[in-house]
Amino acid sequence: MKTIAARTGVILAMIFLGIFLFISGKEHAVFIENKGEKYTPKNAYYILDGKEEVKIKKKKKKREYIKGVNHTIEVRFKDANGVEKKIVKEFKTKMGKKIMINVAMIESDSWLKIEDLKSKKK
Amino acid sequence: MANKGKKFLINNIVPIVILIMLVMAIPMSGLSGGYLVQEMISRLSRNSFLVLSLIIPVVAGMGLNFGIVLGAMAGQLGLIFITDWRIAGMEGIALAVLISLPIAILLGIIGGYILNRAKGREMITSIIMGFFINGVYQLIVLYGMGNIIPMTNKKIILSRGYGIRNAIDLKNIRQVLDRSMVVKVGEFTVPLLTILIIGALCFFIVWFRKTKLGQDMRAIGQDMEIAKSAGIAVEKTRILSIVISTVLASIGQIIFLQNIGTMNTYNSHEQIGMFSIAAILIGGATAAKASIPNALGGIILFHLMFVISPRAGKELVGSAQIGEFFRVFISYGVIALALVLHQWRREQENKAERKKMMEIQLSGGEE
Repeated sequence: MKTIAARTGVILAMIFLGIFLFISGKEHAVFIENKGEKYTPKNAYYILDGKEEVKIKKKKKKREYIKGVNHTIEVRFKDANGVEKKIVKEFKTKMGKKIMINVAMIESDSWLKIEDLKSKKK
Repeated sequence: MANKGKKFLINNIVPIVILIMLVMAIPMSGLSGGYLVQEMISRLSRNSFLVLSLIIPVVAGMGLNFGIVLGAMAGQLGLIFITDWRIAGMEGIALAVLISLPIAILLGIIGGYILNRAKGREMITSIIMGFFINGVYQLIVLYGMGNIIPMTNKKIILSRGYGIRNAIDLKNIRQVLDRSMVVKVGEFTVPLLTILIIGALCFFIVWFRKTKLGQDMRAIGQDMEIAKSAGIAVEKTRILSIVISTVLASIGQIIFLQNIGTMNTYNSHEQIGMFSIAAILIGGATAAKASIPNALGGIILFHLMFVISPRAGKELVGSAQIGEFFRVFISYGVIALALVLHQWRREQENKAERKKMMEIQLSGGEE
């Protein structure tokens, strides 16, 4: 009885560890866009999760891969008045969701869009 | 003293001959010492885990376990799944190990049962078993994945919609272990974490040999009948030794492939058994005796041959291919020689035992 309990415990621990590793190691695609409704900076710079800084030109879109659930994005750009701004935002990724970040609208509420991933099997 | 020297020479004839050949070939190759040392560090970290996984079955008297390809296949299945699920980094490696563990344990149990039915012919049986399980593996990977087992990553699926591509890019976990803790020693780069993991396995083997189970395996390796009379569960212990070896081989294959960064789905595992066994034999091990220095020394000698032979061949006869042929000839020749010597020694021992028994019976008759 003791052996069965120990073995069940080990199997359960392995399953939980597997789930944890799956969630924390899962890579997600994030689309980053530089296209505002009223104003779009000529060049914007962003840092995802403390990695290297990436430049994104006006009306361009880039795809980045990030790992895990909790993330930060640091955006640097010049606003309409020519003042340099640096904004840090936090966001979460979800399984089966498409994440889109608009750096030109980083100051507004609509900087982040989360959509369902389209399944081609439908 | 002379006898001691002769015994040492006989016991270590293979590494000594290879070492002499290497000493002669290194200057001919024109490769610098620094380059060779760096290559050896990287190859030691890549292959040690796999070669060390061969030691425990030798202790249990089951010879050289060609069945480590079973473990390698389990490791590869783990890697296929994490690539499909896009799990990256250290989590990817850990999850691949976690997935491969139950598969390796199951394959180890099957292998152990089969080898128990073929006592005394474990090595050839494990080679054939490897071929058989390879067929099952190919069936699963080529037809099952994408059909029965759902796969989502189109990059690894064949264009027909099922089956895994011939080569998988392991970019999500490429050299994650090797690059996570790097130490610079002079001009050399040492992958510290991988070396630490290999060190931990060495400690495990040393510790394991001292445990009750390790001692039981040793007793079985020396004489199965006496071990049975002493109340040791021979069959169960032999299965356990194969399970441990298979599990270690699955982890070893994951470490090996994360270093390479690309997985050849249908071939990566096939060569592993031969290469690992050639390495441990070149290090001076036999089918009845293997140790950690045999494994590590063997990897250095075997891989020095790998690096040097093509260059030495090119310098000597103007063709790198000749050097490569020579290396292949030596590697497999060593395996053949070791197996022949093992069989010869066994026959000599049996002969001596028969003679001893006869003498006892004759002397008993006289009394």
